[in-house]
Amino acid sequence: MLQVFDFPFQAMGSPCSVQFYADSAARAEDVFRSVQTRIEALEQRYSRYRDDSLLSEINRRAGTGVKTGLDAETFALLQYADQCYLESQQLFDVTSGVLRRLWGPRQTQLPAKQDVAALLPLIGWQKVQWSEDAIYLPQTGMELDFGGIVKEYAADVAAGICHQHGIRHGIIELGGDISVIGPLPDGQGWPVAIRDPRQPDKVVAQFRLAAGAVASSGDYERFLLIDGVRYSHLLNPKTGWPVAGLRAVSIVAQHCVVAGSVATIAMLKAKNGLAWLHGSGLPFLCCQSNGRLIDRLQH
Amino acid sequence: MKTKKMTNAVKRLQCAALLLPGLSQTAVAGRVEETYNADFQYGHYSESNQRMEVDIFQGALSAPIGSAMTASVNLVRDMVSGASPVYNFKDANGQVRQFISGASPTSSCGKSICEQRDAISSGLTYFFDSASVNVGGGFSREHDYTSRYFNTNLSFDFNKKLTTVNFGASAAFDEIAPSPSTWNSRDSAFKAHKTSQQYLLGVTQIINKESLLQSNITFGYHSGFLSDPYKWVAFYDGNAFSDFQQDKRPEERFEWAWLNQYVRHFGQFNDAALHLDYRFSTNDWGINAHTFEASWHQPIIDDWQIIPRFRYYSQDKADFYQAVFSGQSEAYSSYSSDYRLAGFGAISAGLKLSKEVKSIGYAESLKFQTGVEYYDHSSNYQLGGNGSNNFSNFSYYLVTASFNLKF
Amino acid sequence: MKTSIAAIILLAVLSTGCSEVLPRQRGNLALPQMGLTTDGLEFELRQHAFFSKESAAGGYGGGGGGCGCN
Repeated sequence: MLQVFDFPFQAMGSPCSVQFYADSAARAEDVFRSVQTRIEALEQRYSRYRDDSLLSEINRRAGTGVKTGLDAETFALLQYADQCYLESQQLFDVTSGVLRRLWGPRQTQLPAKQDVAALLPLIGWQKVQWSEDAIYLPQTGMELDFGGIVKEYAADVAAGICHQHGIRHGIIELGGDISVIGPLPDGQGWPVAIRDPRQPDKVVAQFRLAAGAVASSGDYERFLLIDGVRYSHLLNPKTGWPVAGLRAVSIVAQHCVVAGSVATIAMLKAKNGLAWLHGSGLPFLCCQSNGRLIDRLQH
Repeated sequence: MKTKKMTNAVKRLQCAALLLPGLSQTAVAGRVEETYNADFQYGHYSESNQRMEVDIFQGALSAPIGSAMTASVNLVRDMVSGASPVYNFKDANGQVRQFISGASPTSSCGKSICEQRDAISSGLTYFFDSASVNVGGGFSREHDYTSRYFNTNLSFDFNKKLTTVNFGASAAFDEIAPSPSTWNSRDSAFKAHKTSQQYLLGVTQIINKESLLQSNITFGYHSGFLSDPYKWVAFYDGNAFSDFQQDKRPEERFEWAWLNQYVRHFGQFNDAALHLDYRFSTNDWGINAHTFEASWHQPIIDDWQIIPRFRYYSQDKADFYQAVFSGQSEAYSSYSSDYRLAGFGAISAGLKLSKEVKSIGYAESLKFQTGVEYYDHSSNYQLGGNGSNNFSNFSYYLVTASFNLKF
Repeated sequence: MKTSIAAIILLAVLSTGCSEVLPRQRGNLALPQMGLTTDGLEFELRQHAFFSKESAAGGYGGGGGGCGCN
């Protein structure tokens, strides 16, 4: 007899939840614990906020001449980041995190142009030396940031773990990034709601998702408000300035990691983002800078 | 959620995502073609001296079934009309000439040969993570020839999918019921059979990110009625006719072939690709043949491509071939004067143009192609030949036009 | 003789000079003009024409049926 179980938790700096149908509470607890452990492990390895993470170790060794060994999973993530770099015309760049020093969440003024220009030489995925076994950041001050990839990847991995444990009906949400384990027992999709980027209590789209994933990117999460102007947390690695063109993008794809990168790339392409979304062939919801909503979810 | 059309960018991201551990569990198996494909082609074949003309209509459809299978079906209709060489004879000057079957006012097309061949074949492929299995079969029918055939292929990926090994086996069961005519003295009850088997062992190897090589070895065995029921052989005593018999070939043939295909990408030429093929084949009828083919696929602008191609072929004559024989037929166990068993070479050159239109209506892509090829058969082109069969030289041109729809 | 020398050459090609191709580099290999058969129906038609006029057979596999081709 299947019952529904709902486990809210905190991970990757966001409110998360995993909901699924299982035949017993004990089983459900078991599955939840596996999921939580795995997500915690991913955070421990790839978070830039943790000094003991693999990512921080790679960043500390920048410019020292010491390489860092890679495991299969990290190599696969770097390959994925590489593909995103290629498909976005070098806009999706995991070395652009250094710009946070000037565009961090507590800035109250625009940074000086020289300061931004000074950081640009530290950015450039093509400069990173990496192979299947090791990675090395050649200049001191260079940093890797998996911000646009790991949370979405974690959602997919978590869905996979539930599936492996025999769960066939469930949904995972990690701070707005959703991955479906399987449809509701009657075959219907899970209800998904997307909110207005500027008015979080207003829903702009509602649909049912029986399989796949949803990920969103926008200037509503972490943004800077300077002199009344909202600046996105997404930074253009070539200019060093925040992108401006689209307010928010939500994408539906088979995997959350792909949905997330397509959304981020669309945001990074700013004014060209909408054309790219149309060309991708994936269902999407896009909010332009003038507030206009383009709904292609029932694609 | 339907993802019917996805640009290549998204597809490549999906592929890169599937490499992430933890995602592959629920991912779809290896190489499944997610799209439906519909193809149609028209071809016109025309030989020199108005010998033979053929109109060919082909259609093919393939569709994904479930998450790990692809099914396909293929249809062909050939409409042949014309004449063909029946036997060789010595003219008044003692020179060997070909006798070509003449016009036939009573036939349906006014020529000596009016034929329609229809064939249907289908196949099913099942994909695993690093392997695939294919089974298929088909049926071909002409008024005097029926063929039923089956084939199977196994494919295994190794070495991080850089190497693929292929095993193939096929068998065909043919029934020949030649119609009585001026050139077939057998009665209408005559029916003969031919059985063919072919086995293939091949390797496809990715050499580096710009090139790959495929190498296949095949072994074939045919038995039964292998002669041509409408061809004759002339025997001479000096310049006088001494005997005249229907084509008689051995009842068995073993053959081997080794094919190598090399493909290389040239980024500096706008993503052009060079294709080079070489095949050596030999059989126990004494025919050794070399086939060399080269083509250059050049993308121009806006999804247009131009493809020039060149082919050279050379074969020796069969042990039991002679243009005309001397003496009596009883002295020979097998004899044939069929120009296809003689020593000769063939050079052909062609040009093809293709245009792809992406994202049209509900379809992912529509591709148009058209091409022309000119083929010249001459005894002078034979490698190491002595040009003694120039009486049977001919040429043909083949024009094709097709479209392919992916949706 | 001929076939065994050929086999040795084949093995030599496969075992040397085959460098590592990471899946991310297969982009060029996946271009349509890089396929071993770029046009299935045209390939079948051409091979059928050659088969009707020449004695060589094999190499390509596929195993189609016979015909009373003149």
